[in-house]
Amino acid sequence: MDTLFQQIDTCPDLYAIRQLIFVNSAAYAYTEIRVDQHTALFGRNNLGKTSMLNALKLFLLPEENFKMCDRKFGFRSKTGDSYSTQESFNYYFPDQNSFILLEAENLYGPFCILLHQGRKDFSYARIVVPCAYEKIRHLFWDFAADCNEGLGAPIETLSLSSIQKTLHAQGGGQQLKYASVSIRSYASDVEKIRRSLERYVRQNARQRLQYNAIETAFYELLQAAKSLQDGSLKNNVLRSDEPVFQRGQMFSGLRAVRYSSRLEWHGHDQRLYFAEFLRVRVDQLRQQNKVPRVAELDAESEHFERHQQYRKETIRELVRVWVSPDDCNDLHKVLHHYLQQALPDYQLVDLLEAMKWCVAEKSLQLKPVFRQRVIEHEGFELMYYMRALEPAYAS
Amino acid sequence: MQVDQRKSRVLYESLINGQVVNEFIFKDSSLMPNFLYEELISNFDRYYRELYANIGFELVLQQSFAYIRSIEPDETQNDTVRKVLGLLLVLGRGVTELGFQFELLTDPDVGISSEILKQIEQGEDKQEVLAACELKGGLVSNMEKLLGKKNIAFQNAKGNWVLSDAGKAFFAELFDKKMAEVAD
Repeated sequence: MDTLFQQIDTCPDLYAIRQLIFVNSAAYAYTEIRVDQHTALFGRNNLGKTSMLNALKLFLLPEENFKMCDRKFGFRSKTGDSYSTQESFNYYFPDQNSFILLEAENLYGPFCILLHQGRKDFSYARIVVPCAYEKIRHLFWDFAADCNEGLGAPIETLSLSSIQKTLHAQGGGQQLKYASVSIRSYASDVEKIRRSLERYVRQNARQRLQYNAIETAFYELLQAAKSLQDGSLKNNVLRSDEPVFQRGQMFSGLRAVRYSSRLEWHGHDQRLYFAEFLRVRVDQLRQQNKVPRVAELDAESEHFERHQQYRKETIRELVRVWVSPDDCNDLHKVLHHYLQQALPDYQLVDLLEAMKWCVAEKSLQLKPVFRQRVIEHEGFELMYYMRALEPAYAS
Repeated sequence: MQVDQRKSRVLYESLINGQVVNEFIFKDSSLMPNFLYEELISNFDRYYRELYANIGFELVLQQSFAYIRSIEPDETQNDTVRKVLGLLLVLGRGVTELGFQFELLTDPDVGISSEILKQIEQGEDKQEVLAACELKGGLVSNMEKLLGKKNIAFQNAKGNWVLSDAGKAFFAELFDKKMAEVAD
């Protein structure tokens, strides 16, 4: 917005509203009001002098209909009573041949905005034509007619369709099409401008300074962020030593938050009590388990390695000589009972080893049964899915 | 004034965990003087500056808040600056752009609601800045994770976010610089 205001300041003529034209609208057959120069409006009360100027709101606000027009436009009589939707709409657009035009100028030259009745109830639509009003003036009023003491006469054939057709023929068609499609974006632009204008009007000097200071700092940061992007969105993190971070040096070196909560000791002896409690409790827990959970094995020694191999061979031999039952629902269970008797120092881990040899050595066909069971042995538990043995005749 | 051991311990816990100690804290629905800050100021030259220097930290005393940083700066020194600055500017820009007065952010009775925060983070430019400052997870979560935990902002009785002294000091510096620019 700054650039817009700078441009307005430096070149006030670049953006200007030139005149308003009412055709069959606001109680006039045809009126042109210059608003870019001194204009005196004479007339008795309630003739529509204020309401003519009020029509500017129809162009400047991003509205499309007169519903709740009191809130949108604030049209009020001198006594302060607000005009209803119906009254306001009928005043400005009494019939289909009612038009209000605004001639304005921007960087690209003069243009006109034409308002006419919309298709929906109490709605109005816009047409934007990229030319000065002078060029389309003849479409709305017959200036050559001798009647009305030389003021001209209404055009009998005036209608929205005829105007649209003429504008098409004059090469404004593309613009018309564009205008109807872009009304939405136009409206949002107007909304942005309106908000900024409103802010500039409302803000006092201090608030404006605050706004500008934050805007400047934010855009510096945004520019730095934009310069990072090489098309991909990856690794576009600004380096901490970027000049843009000079602004935040008052926080330089602020430590990262390590942890959010800590154990609170309410008295200085509590930590000791807790240590003592842990020591006693851990001892108790150890004694509860008759068999130590962790076997103390020197896993790296040669002896351990040999012992393991020997054990595997023993299990393999036991499985080989074992006569498997013809019908068995739970192979783990049967094998468990067999190994308990046959293998000295039997542990559950041996059962798993034996199950492997059953498949590898004896080529037994195992059928999974989706039921879970648990075998307990010397303080350990083995949870497993049951495996049924296929009877020999089945295969 | 005698050093209060209990306050000194609480101060240490706060500072060592990367929090700033503000002049005022929000308690019982209003701002009141922070006894930790008072303790720090009362014994700053006589005790605390040396205490923290002895364990390798510089005790930084700003206009209305204090924090510690390592005496030997390292590469990650400015990581926090990047995040805090990014977050504060997105916040400030968002609030003023939506047409609110800046004081919305500093008035402990008002503050900025999570609905407004969500509205702010919708902006593409805001998302771009948040990403560039390595602030993942959006505005709302970072308010709590970063500004909240570091005491740069706090939540008032309504649950709205309000800038603490540290947060205000950042913007005050920004405004002062702008004013100096304009005066030139």
